[in-house]
Amino acid sequence: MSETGRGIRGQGRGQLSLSVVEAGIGVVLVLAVAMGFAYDLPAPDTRDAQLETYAEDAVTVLAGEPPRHRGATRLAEVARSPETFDRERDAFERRVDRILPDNLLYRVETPHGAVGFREPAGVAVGEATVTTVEGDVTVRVWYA
Amino acid sequence: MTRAQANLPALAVALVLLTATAGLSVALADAAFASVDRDPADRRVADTLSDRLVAPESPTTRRANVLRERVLSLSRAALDRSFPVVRGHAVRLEVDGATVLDRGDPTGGATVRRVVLLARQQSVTLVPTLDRNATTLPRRTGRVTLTLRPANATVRTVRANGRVVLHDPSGLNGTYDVRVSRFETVRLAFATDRPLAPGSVELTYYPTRTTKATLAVTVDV
Repeated sequence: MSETGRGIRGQGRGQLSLSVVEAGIGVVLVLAVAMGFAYDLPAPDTRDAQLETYAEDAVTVLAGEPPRHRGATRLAEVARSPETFDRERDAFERRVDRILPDNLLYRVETPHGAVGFREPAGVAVGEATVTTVEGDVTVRVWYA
Repeated sequence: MTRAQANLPALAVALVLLTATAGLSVALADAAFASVDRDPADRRVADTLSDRLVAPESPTTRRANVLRERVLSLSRAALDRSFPVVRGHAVRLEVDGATVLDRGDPTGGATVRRVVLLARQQSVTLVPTLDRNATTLPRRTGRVTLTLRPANATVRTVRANGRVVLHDPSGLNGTYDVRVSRFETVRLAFATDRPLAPGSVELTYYPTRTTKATLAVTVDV
């Protein structure tokens, strides 16, 4: 009861502070938005570009390697026929695995099959394709 | 009545305060957008430098993405001379985590990583045993140095996998450099008028050992 009495007596003061409180909240809101600009704007995502670079480098390195048996290059040898693919797949997978950094997973698709891991949905993937005399070979890489 | 009268100046003050803050914020946002780095120079230079370092025609590579060993001892002057894009910028080159070159302190700059091979070239010299005037090189190589000392025989033609690489109707004698394909095993055949004596051919070939590596280029402009 005594509190109500104080409220009635200080009615004018209470009404005044309400406006100021509203203005204060407004200022805080506007400043909060402004702070987002005062700090740096978010940096562009460079992970995708780096993944593309990794994929490009991997096909460049693989495309320049001599074949293990016969064929134009190692990639051409793998892409040549189902038999050569089956024969080379383990060695080829080891090679791709060695070439790429450890924090990457990969999938290499050739006309006669693919080596590597299953590509997960919803992750950034870098992709590069190289043409060999036997067909296209595509390398996809993503962060593990 | 008195309450409403008291509120009017408070409202005015509140409005003025809020409008000033909003105006200030818009100005701040405008300045932030105007000054934002839309052309990130660090990344552009790092990207370009890494591209040039692994390009097939670069002095640091044997072929695309295959670095010569000399990249491990690249000097700052040589870097500036061959790759002027990085002149005057802080730069650090790392091969598999080991710093091979640094200038200034590029911490905070952009880093580009490249997958490369490091090639180490060896040279192997051997005196082959000739089987019907032909020999097969044990390893693949892009180049062979042949020293021919046919005592009384005449070597007119040398073929690599059936392709003529050396020919002299009056007889080959001396040291010759021959380019061969590194994509196939090379069989050298010597066309002579009589069988070559053992030891009359000495050859040096240059197999390369490649190891994989990651080249990290960090540049701060």
